[in-house]
Amino acid sequence: MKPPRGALLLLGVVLVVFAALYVLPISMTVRESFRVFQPARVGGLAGTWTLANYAVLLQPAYLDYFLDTFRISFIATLVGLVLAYPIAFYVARHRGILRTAWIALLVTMLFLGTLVRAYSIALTLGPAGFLIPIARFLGLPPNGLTLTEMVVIFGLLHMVVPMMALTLIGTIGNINPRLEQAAQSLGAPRWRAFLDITVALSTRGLLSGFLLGYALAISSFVIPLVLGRGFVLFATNLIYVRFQDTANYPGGAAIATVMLVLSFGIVYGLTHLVRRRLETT
Amino acid sequence: MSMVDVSGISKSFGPLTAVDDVSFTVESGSCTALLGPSGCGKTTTLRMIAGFEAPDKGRIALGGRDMADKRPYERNVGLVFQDYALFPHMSVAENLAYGMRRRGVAKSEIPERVRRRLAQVKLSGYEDRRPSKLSGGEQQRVALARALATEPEVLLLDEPLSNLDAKLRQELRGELKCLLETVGTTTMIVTHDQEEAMALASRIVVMNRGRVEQIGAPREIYDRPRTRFVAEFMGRSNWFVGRLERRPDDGGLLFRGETGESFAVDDADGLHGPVDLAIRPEQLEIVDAETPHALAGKVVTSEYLGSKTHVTVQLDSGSVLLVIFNKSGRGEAVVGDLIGVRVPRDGCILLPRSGPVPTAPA
Amino acid sequence: MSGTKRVGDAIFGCSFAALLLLTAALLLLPIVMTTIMSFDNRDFLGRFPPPDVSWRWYRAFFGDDYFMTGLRNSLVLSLIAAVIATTAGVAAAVVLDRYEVPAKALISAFLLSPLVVPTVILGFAVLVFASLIGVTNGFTRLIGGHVILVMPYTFRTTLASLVGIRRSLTEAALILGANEKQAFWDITFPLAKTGIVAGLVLGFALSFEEVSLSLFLFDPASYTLPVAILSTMRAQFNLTLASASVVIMVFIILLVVMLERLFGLDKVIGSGLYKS
Repeated sequence: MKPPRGALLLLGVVLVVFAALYVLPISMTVRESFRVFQPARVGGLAGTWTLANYAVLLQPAYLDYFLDTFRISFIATLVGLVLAYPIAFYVARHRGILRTAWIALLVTMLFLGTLVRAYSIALTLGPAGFLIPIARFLGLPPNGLTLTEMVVIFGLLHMVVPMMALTLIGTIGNINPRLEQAAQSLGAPRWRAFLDITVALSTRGLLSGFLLGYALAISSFVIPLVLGRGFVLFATNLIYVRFQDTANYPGGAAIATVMLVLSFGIVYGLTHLVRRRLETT
Repeated sequence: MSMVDVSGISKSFGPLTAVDDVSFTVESGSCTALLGPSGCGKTTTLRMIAGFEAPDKGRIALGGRDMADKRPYERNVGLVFQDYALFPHMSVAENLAYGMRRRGVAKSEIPERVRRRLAQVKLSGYEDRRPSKLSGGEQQRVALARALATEPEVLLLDEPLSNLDAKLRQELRGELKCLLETVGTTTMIVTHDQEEAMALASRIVVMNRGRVEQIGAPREIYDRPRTRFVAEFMGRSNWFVGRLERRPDDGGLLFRGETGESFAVDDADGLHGPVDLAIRPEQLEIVDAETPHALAGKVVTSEYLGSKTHVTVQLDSGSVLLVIFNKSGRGEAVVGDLIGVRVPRDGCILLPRSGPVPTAPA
Repeated sequence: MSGTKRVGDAIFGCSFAALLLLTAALLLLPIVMTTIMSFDNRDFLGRFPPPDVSWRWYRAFFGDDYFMTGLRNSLVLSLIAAVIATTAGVAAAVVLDRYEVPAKALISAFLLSPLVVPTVILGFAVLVFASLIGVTNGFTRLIGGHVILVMPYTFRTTLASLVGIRRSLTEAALILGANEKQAFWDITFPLAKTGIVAGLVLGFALSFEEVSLSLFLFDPASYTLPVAILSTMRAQFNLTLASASVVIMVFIILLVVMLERLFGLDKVIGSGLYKS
């Protein structure tokens, strides 16, 4: 049915507000990243054009932070996927109190957000908590880089596992349980049927879940900020630090643009590519 | 005067042409059916009459007024949806009252009109029920009452009986016909069920692939289909391909089939030469094998279905025919029997040749 | 042969259950610990477990002007942002769902795209924008940022609940004589009400605990509770934060329960076709 004029107008208003609060700021930020930075000035120098802000990011000092972000996020997302899948499987295939409890837990974790959990983890794994015993158990220096990275990964898991579990519930929910039963009636033990049928059919969901989780992980701010204790920094923290210290709008904008392109690229680009590859097989 | 006047309307959705140059009229007070298989454009046509879609070309007039640019609520049309579309958060009475309220009927009059409409559809006392607690048949009647409550000029019914099971369908069909005749509103029914169309409507518009195949009274359409599609859609047929010739002795028409059969036929509307010939299964009669002028053959299958028997016969010429007869017919037809099939002279459907025909009964 | 298969199955079953248990423990552990520590009677941050319990940290939290101002600001901000975002999200969802709008899929994807943008970048971008057009009021900036943050969620939730409302119901209203506006308020809105409110609650909760966005947009006069907590965390790591966290957790849990009652959590997550 064709929309009446009033409806289109309404939609138009919403889109304009959206453009003002979203498109304009982001495009201005991208534009800002190409401006020359002048200390003690709000915003880059108008009318200038430079790639210096991006060039700076290729220096080892900055590049390392980016690589750290990608590496740590990758590990966290991978581990998170392995942990999330069984949860999703349980929720999708069972009924009862335990299932409801799981859903309640997952949804609450999602709503709880990063700050409260980052603090909780900092408390739990901090000096007042289990940090020293765990460090001793693993034979690592308690204030060392490796352990801190593990704590950050632990924090990222808290963020990534609920989200991926919830998406995977839908994926597994769409796989007919009778298929697994059919495999079993053909002689496969439960674990084989599980791997060969359910997991194999979830490939698409697993891949998009992973990509979504990864995009989420590399964008996380609070968790590396609080748990990284200053020596594990993510690219997003870099934006904040650069901005806070020196009001370097262009510098921050450059990092922001890179992260933006990455996030969009992963979620839209890679997911689309992956889907297409999987469709043709 | 015609209450509904549709001329030359077409509608495409992207590359798909749903409706292609469709024209018909509906006389005031009569009931017309749009009949055809799914995808033939009947529902799209209905939606254009209701105002949910606008035709790309052509003109729709209701009650003599051009409906171009008129939104659905600006037309005086009632519509019974296929899924009934009863408002789940309102009671039956509130559903019925909704249209009246929106069209400005005085508040004081509404309860009485609701009561009368409910009585009309035999649902007195159902005012406070919720749609979710009603059976399929009851929902259908509420939907009907609701559409009639606004006293529309034209009543549209979209597959009114499809959502009901077979037995209920038959029962409600009779009630529906009665109701429509009592109310007397100009009615259009969209359906894919030819029995429904023939039972309820006085005129049928047969559609296929967006176009009108034939318009006429039910009897006309069934006995004298003008295209192959209509012949096959309206009922089962046995098809023959052959030629019409004049008999030298008495000038009567003779059909000579390509597979070798020949039998006399009556007046063929001026057709001559190559023709397709169809005979309805219930027109054929099973007689003894020796009967003169009967086609000889053998019984291949026999299905006793209670009120009727379906028999397939393989003629000596090779063609396979479907014969349907009821109890007053021949009695048992046992598989393997050698019998004769008699073709009534006035029971054939003749169409100009238009390509290959199905070799088994359609 | 079947013996080894049975053993394989048993191991599979056990490790599966063990994995589930482990994950649950890992997810719950920090929360449980924080809750316990928030009742710690010691006035310094000592080792777990606390020897004695008291409400002192809660009193510290609720008695602290800094936190209480932040709390009040957060509640007001999130409410306003959620209401604006819900209105906008519902408007867009209704128009896109009920009518044939050109480029519908594109507009939909556009309205959902902020979900992909890291909140830090949203915050930074709104800040850049605000600075360049001369808006320095923290509260205004915060509202702008939070509305964009929340709108995709309200849009998505409303769209999801609208999809469940049959098109024929709106059309029935129209053919009975209601115009588009009346059809919306009489039919669509009552049926979508729970979905819309669920979106509102969801938006409020997300806005309430959002920190990376607020970190860029606040000013000394208007800061949110999460900002206050984060700043305190970096300055001095004490247990007032533990009680603050527990207060927030309880609040969020209450909101989730409300969401479950209203909407049913199953609809929030989507369970696929084959629910066993």
